[in-house]
Amino acid sequence: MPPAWLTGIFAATILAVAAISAARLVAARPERRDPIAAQTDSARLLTVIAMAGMLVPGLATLPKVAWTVVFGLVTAWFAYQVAREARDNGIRALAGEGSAATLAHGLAHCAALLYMFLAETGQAGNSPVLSQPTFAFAFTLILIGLSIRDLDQLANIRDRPAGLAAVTVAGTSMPVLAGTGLPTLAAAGAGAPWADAPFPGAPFPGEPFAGASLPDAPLPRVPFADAPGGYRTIAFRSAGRHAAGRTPAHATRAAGGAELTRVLLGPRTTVASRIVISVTMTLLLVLMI
Amino acid sequence: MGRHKNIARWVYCAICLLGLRDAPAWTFDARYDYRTHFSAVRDILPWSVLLCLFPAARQRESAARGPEVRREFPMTDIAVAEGRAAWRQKLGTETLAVPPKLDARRALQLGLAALWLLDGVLQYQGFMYTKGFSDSLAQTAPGNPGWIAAPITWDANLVQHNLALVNTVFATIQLLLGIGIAFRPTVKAALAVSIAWSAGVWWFGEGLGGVLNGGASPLNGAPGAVLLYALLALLLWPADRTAPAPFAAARAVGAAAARALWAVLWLSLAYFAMTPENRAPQGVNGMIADMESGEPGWVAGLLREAAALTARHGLAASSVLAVALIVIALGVYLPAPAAKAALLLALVVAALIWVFAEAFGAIMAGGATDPNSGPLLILLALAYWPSRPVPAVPMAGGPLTAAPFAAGPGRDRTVR
Repeated sequence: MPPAWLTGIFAATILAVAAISAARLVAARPERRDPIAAQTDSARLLTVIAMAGMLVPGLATLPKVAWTVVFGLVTAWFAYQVAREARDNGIRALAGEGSAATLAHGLAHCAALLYMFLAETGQAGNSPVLSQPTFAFAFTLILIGLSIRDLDQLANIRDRPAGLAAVTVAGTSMPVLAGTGLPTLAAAGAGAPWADAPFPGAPFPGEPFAGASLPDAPLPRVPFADAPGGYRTIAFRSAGRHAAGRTPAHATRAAGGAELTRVLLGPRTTVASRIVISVTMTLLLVLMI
Repeated sequence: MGRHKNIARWVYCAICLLGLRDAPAWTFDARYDYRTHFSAVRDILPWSVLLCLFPAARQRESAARGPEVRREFPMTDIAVAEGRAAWRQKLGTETLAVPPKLDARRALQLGLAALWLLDGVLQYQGFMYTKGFSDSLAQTAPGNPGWIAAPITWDANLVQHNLALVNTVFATIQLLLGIGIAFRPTVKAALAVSIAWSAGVWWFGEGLGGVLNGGASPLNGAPGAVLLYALLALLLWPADRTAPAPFAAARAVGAAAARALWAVLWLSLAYFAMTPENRAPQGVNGMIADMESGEPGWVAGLLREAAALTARHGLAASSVLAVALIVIALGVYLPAPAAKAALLLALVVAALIWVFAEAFGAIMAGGATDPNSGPLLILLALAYWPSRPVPAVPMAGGPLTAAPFAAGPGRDRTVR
């Protein structure tokens, strides 16, 4: 094995991914989340915890048998979901950028980890060794391919532009260009906790905002099945501008909080997490060959 | 401004600089009065400049890609709890950048990136942190001229005395090269660095691939696998000298130069195949048999068969290989159908070398520093595959213009 400090750095990196996955689970409210996204986040959390234990023995949490059972089940779940996606949307959907791709990545990660737990035969020096290195080689190539593909897409994945939102109520689409204050976020109507009262209109450029009535409830998050992250947050900048009508500090806080949530749940975070996991798992496989 | 906000802003700026998200809107909002909310303008100014630079670079990249397409995504429904009437909300259009089409050159760049990434990961192996690694570097010096050998010996000593640090730096550089080539905004910088890095490794790490000491053979990675990384980086450089190019490798350097580089490479391989060491009766057999150690059973079996086939037939095997390499070298000068046949032969020869002579780079045996020359030769052959001719599009009523423009905060591009 390489020096302990080096594996420690890699373990710290993937534990950061664990923290992000946990934060995503917390940040996305249960009633508004895409169940697939929640499950993939949970699986990602488990994956990085198990990987950290393999990189640094001091971080091992569960015995090997328990992890084998856990990842056997998770791999089977991912395999079922991937098969269903392939049946419903075609095999090409798995190579796309939506939730199908997230599932395919999850399957590859969990299967590789399951292989590592099953094939770990003993120690060579202070390093565990894998039997059947052909599988390790195959998983290495697959994971490198996935990480390269994700890296290629990372620059092209763009969160929803902050100033643009479009809301359709009862089938009527009403684009809202919040940054310029163009017409309104008419999200009135029953139900939405953040829209108990109508939002009369955003100001035009240069006009002070006088609108009322977006409550201080958290900004809305809408699950977005086709996004790689599984979540989409609509960052209604108008809310920030509404707050700006009160005090600048509130405006900054509201906008900043919404932005951070949007970043956390956004597809870029998902893809970046996948890249870190893929590269670190490739390293683990190569170290154990 | 409170201390906690200041820290948050710095973290936020760091995230933006890493490219994980767009720069915050307040950075670009001219109406935002920083003096009100921040204690000092000088505090925000440098960060604002940096934050503005990153999207500017990305806009240039986006402009080079051409106009983007607005795509519509269906949104899921929201059922609201607490006994209220279900409220059906749908979002309209979601503006996302559609990934640009993966052209042949970009696909090959990604292949190169994958190989660099694999190189980097392999360099982190435990073996590289032992004296064996510095010894393997030192072993490339003997037989080379003094002015070539001396720096290699110096480098091997340096590595030996700072093994953990130097090897970690080596591995990290290679990992970052892979990431940099795969990440579109940094592809040029990473390719440029990879050329310089490859040249250094070719000298200090591979002893010029054994070209000058008689140890080079097409079967053991001559003329040095890392030199092929540099060649690919050069040929896949994201620039267009000729349009339309007959093949991807010609786009950056032109067809004539690309063909000349191809011919030099494969003719040199043919020459190395026929050196006295390689055409000796047991030359090819010995080289293949040496790779067997540590390989999984099925790979070892393949190597045994190949070694048995070439035992005492070194001259014949080398001659056949040399003829094939010469045909490949000259094939790119032939008309497209014949060139395709030669490239197909190149793909087959490269694959055979990788499997039967290089044992998949000996990755499965452990201790490999790279996947060796086989995959690189395959990538190279694919880079010379003739492009499909682009059909001419008749323009009725005058040419249309695609006018990218910055459309507000989202910086969307729309075709007019």
